[in-house]
Amino acid sequence: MRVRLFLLLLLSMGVHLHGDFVLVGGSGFPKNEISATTLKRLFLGHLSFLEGERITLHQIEGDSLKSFCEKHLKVSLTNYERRWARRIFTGKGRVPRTFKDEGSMLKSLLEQEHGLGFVNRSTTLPEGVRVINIIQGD
Amino acid sequence: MALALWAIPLGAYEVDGVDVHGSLSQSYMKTHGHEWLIPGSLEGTFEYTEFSLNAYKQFEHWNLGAQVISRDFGREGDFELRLDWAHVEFNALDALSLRLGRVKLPFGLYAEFRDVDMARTEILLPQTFLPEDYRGAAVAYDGVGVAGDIPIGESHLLQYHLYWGTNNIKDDFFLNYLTQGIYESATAVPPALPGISQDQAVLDTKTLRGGQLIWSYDPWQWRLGYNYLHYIGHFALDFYDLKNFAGGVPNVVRDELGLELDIQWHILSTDLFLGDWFFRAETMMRLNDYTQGDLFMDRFGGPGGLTTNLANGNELWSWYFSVQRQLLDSTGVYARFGRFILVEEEPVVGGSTKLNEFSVGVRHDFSEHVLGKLQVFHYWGYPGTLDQATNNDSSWGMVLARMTVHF
Repeated sequence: MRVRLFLLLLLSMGVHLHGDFVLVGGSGFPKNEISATTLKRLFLGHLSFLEGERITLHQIEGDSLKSFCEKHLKVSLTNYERRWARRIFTGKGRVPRTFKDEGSMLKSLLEQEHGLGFVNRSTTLPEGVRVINIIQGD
Repeated sequence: MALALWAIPLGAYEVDGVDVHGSLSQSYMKTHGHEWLIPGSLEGTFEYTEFSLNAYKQFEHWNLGAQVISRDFGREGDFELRLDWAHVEFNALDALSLRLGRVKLPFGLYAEFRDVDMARTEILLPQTFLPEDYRGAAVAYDGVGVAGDIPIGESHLLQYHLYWGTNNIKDDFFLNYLTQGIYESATAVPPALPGISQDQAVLDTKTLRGGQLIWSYDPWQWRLGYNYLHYIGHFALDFYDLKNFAGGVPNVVRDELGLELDIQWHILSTDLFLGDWFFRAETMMRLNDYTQGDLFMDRFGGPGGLTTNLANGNELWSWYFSVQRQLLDSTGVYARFGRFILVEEEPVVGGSTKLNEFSVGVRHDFSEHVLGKLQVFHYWGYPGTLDQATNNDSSWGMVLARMTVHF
């Protein structure tokens, strides 16, 4: 059991350290860690709720979003944008709230207790938002 | 108009938590060898414009939204503003949501967003599969739907959508089809038919029900879908005797049973991403069962579309496959081949039996909100009469260019 926990910890640290981004959640985000699959399903519109709470997605436009899509969602930015265009124009969901910079996104996350977004690993996080670890598996 | 909007700063608008999005597109169409879809296409025409605007509000477990659409497509549309979709949705959980109102109709993997230019590389979807001149028949349903996304482990996702309601095709579509060769009337009232009133040529029943099931394998971005649609339509009692129609003005006859259309569609779809490549294929079988249909339909070829002159007992089989490649972030190309084959219970002289379509195209995104597309088509193998005013060739070509602005 201890070995499995240790391996899980290593795995989660590995994903965390090797990515350029960290996930950040609002104060009331219902989980401390989510799987890579859950992250993908959230940002591709297949999941809206975690632990019964609706998650408000946040994203930063431009190169950050492109890198995030390729590294964490395993889709191109073109593919990602087309998926959301389909949803927006057929009444099947709300596109993630989009911000020009990390500062304005973090400010929004302070107000959205169930919000979820991503920032560069080097960004200093304000009090009131917290890092959500990404783990492999459910 | 689209060019004028280019200069306006665009972005998603949010007012008190209500998201507002819209799009405007202007197309240019030119055909060669056959005047098709839009009158004047042989000389080139700009009579192909689409505009949409939607508003969407999300609550904790409720979603509320609506979209209006206005289009001009040759003799159809005429910029009439129509409600494209408007529904309230209760999200109990991701796996179970209830939709009530006007909802986009699942019909294969792509028909729901056939008007969403931003969502694909090509302009028109395959005309052997989703003919534009029959657009009004498969746009949305007015009724109730149950849908959901069910994750199965790490790699699989099951999506479903079951619905029951009425087709939102216009009640007088058949009258317009007879008088003008179009399915969707414009604001202009169509000319009266001799001996028959408009009330006697409208659909009084437009029931439909069906479902969609999509299985996804996430690691490969591979989807497999099945759609079923069952449509029952009924016309009023008095109508033309098309069975004995030999030109001129047909006789008006009374049939106590009227004409009931019982049509079923089965659609199998699949698509797959492989890096910058995107492959997709769909096949559809349409089965007709008309009560009293022989009286009206056997001799009726119709002046408009190619795939619509289906008589009782006929089956229509169509399919296509498409290969798409994203060359750059902003530029993608595609090639597509499709075909339909009409299996007639009783072969009709001069009737349509098949059509082949091949098209290639390119899409370039000039900015986050402006995109341009070019699409070239070639059609061949159609044995019926295409356009008596121009020629009787069995092949023709079409070039379509479009500029779209969206936010």
